[in-house]
Amino acid sequence: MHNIPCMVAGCPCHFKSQGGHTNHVQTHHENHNIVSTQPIPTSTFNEQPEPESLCLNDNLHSPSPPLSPRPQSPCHTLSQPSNGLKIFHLDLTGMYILIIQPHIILIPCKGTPCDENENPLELGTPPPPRSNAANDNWSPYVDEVQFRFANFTSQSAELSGLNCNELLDIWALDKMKHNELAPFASFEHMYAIINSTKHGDVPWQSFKISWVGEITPDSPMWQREEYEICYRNPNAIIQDMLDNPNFNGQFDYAPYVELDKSGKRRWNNFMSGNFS
Amino acid sequence: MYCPVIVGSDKTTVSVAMGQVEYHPVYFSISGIHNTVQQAHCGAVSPGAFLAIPKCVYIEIYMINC
Repeated sequence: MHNIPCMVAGCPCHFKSQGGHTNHVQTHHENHNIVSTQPIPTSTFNEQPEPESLCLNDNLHSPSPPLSPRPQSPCHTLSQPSNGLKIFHLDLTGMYILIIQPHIILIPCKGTPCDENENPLELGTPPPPRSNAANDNWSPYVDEVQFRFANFTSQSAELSGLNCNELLDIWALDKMKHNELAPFASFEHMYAIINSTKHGDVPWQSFKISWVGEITPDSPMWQREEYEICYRNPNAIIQDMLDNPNFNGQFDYAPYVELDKSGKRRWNNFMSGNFS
Repeated sequence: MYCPVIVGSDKTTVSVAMGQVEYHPVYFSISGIHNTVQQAHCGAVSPGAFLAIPKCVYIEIYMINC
């Protein structure tokens, strides 16, 4: 007896067992390779969407997420395949504002160009020029003398700390005649400034952790030891990557579904996956 | 800006440093970068932390029980 109906609206199928029903739903109704490409009326960004489509959880669990063609812009056509179609996620491309209930947090998640304060830009606006430091900017060193002294003693001559101090003392004696100071107070001062130099990689930091519970004579060795964790600021790492001009033109700003000529799902980059 | 972050740690042991402590690296990456670049460009994946792993837990329990 086929007495279990398919729960999806408009599907006439009936099944003998619950397993058959599950198999049918997963094959025909929840198959992420089958993407509905029916045109959805595009709306302007300012238009308020339906309340039920605002809930993040609803969108994540609906069998066929609402999709909308991405607005065309000059910088996005670079990644547009000539023979396929890319459909971008409705909530994350600037068409709607994403609202997470119940706390009603407004998160404007967009794949469209914006400035550093997340204000949307006109389509076709060129990116601002990359800011290069001025030639006379020796930060964090005070001036060229300080930088060259640190560079010479630590890189070229590889002076020890004591020799460095001796050299700084002699320099300070000479400078005292004109009521001035040597470039560094001591080698510790110089090392602190060298360590604070921001160039290239994000600096490493470290902290130590150890067992805080009671230590008895029977405690295993791992509870008595101290462990060092080295880490870098994850926020700075991500910003560094986003700042890398080498990724220009090879970067997706929003999740999408890519279809080839025959309408078959094409899985390629991370943002084309269902998990994004 | 919407920027998913990929964080992972594998079993690669970087070095055996100071007695019985090993470090396991944690890698950071961002998901917008295309697959081809992700695999080819070393700047797309960056080490973010080295976790200290105590090694001797099970050996000690075994020795105490015996």
